[in-house]
Amino acid sequence: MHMVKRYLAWTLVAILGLSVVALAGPTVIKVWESEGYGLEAVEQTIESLVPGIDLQISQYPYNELRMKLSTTLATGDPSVAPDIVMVDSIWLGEFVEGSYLANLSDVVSKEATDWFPAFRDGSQWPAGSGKYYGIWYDTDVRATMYWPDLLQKAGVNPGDLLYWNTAIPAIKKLNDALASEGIGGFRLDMGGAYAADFFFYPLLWSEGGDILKTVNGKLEPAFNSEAGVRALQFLVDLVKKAGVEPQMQCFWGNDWAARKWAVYIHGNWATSESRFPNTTAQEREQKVAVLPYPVSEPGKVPVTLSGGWIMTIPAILQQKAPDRFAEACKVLQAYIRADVMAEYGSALARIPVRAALMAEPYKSQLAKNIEFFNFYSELASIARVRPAIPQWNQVADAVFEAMQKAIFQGVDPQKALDDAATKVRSILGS
Amino acid sequence: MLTLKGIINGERTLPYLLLAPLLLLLFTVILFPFLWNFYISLFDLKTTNLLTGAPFTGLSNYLKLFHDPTFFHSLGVSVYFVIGSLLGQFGLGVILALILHYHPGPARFFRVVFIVPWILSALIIGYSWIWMYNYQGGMINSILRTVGLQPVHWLNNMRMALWALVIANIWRGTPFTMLFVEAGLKTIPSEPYEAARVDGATSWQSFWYITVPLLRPTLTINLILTTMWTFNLFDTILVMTRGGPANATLTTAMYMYKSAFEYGLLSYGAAIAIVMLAINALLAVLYFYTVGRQK
Repeated sequence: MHMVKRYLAWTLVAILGLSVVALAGPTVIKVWESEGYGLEAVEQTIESLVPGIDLQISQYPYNELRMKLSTTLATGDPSVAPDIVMVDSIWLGEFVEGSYLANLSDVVSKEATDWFPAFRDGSQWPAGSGKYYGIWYDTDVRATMYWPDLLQKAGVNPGDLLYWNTAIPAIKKLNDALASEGIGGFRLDMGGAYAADFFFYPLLWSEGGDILKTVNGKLEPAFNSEAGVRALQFLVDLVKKAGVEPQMQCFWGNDWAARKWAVYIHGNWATSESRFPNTTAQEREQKVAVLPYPVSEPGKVPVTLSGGWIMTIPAILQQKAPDRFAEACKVLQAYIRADVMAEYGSALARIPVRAALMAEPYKSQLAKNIEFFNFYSELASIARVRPAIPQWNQVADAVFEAMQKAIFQGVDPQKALDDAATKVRSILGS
Repeated sequence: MLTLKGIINGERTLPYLLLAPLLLLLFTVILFPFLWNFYISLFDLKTTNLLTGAPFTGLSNYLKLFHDPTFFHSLGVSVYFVIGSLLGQFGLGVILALILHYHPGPARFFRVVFIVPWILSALIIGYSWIWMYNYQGGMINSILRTVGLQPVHWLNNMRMALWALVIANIWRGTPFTMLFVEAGLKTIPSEPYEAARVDGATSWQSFWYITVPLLRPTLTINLILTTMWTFNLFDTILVMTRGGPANATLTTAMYMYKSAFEYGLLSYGAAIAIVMLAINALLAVLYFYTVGRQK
């Protein structure tokens, strides 16, 4: 009888214990991302790779996410902090300087050797220092995109768009030939500082220039070099000589996809299924075409600018909630598995940031859904990125102001860029 | 002897006790944020040192502000924006109010029509005007083309962009002045007009010597409110131009927003806000001493 009671008691304890475990449920992993980002695409895969977790992904509008992260992480309270956050690559310096992000060198540095150089360095702060504060998860590339039939109708050879001196008359020809149909020859976005990302920095880089340079350990403006002046002069010529009307509103490729423009320099998303619903990658490749950025002369290498998001973990978890931090690291490592990144990239047509995805079996998986995959991923492999310094928004505004002065006000490009450089020098304290 | 009953019954203390809840509320929602903002402006608080702590810098943000050419540029833009908007809103608003007041028949219908811009969200107004100003298919340029005029780059042009914003703001703000002044007109008794008519005064003399002086308090309050709102306005500008092209529409309010929330310079943004508050207060005092002075 005594033994029976003892067995009964142990059985009860075991049942109670199991009930407690069952009641506790899976560990909730809170993920914050920008609106429309899409980590949900591999949510189930991650939950199966890291058993016992429940991913709760929240989306916030772009600007709100930045302020929400700053204010939430500044409370120093891990209970309100997310476990994993996606930060825009240009926010990295600001967030690391603010001590908001954990040093993840031990977690990602081994895997990161497979990343393309720009994205590997861009995951570190300072860039290239070896200290990883996250890992660049995906990217986009910018290129010239056009409607071949519209070019043919206007009698323009696509090859003319490859060089500045032939692009100007070609675009003028397009403007003149297509105006009666309500179609613009070339769309030049000038609605915000992002215009420099599309139209100035890639041209500046392909001319051998740079945005900033380090002199005696201090950052200084470098965009007002001869290369910068040439790049800006080309944009002025597009308006003055080719008759391009700068556009203040950006529709992020929707209007180009709707054939309102023949030629556009934009991000790869403009050729994706999001802009051409219910089409396959192969069908899109039949409709439109892409080219590298125009360069000033043969021999110059066209460069693209890439953006993207960095997957990271708040420092506060590392400091005050080590168990959550360990779990978040496991989730992050699951997310950056090549097979998971391929599944994610394929589902959302995102350009890969690592070499493994350029090889089989992932290459075919991605190429199935991403049009011009070889072209875009090759561009990504040699892409350049903006400096992720905390003052980036101010620098970007100053450069954009110079573009506007030169394009709208007729200010000499050299003077406009020099004025911007003076401002940037003051912003950087150099 | 001081007792609770004595305090409550006391003629001097009772009003303060009754006002106390409201004063507490005002302190919480108005005075405290202002004091907190001023406190922040004395530090070098940025989004990069919210966690690590910002150093106390005293009045350096203010000194920096007074050496910042962009700030002075933004003040200049604000002056044009406020004056342009006020002239339009005030002039049109008063005219519309007089028309509605003296033509009560159609007033009911037109009052509803005219009030629409005031009740719309600033974002909707901003986007609507962007479309109206569109170079290729915008309504305004279509009209210009129809009458044989050249279309205008309303928001791209550094000279035109600010005035394009002023026009949008006049459209948005005029209904408030119209309603405010019309309400003021309704409070003027008919006796002074009857007396003036008996004395042989013309309509213009009645308007100038009776209506305007009796409306003066209404007009003063209206001017103060519209000046402050226009000076502080940033949402429509944010949507329509974000301060561009080339800072041509960068008002002080927009510069404050950009400094604090785009550049992450929270203390600097706070300092701009305090200076804006001082300017608003100064304008209010000026209005009271000039326009609002009773003869």
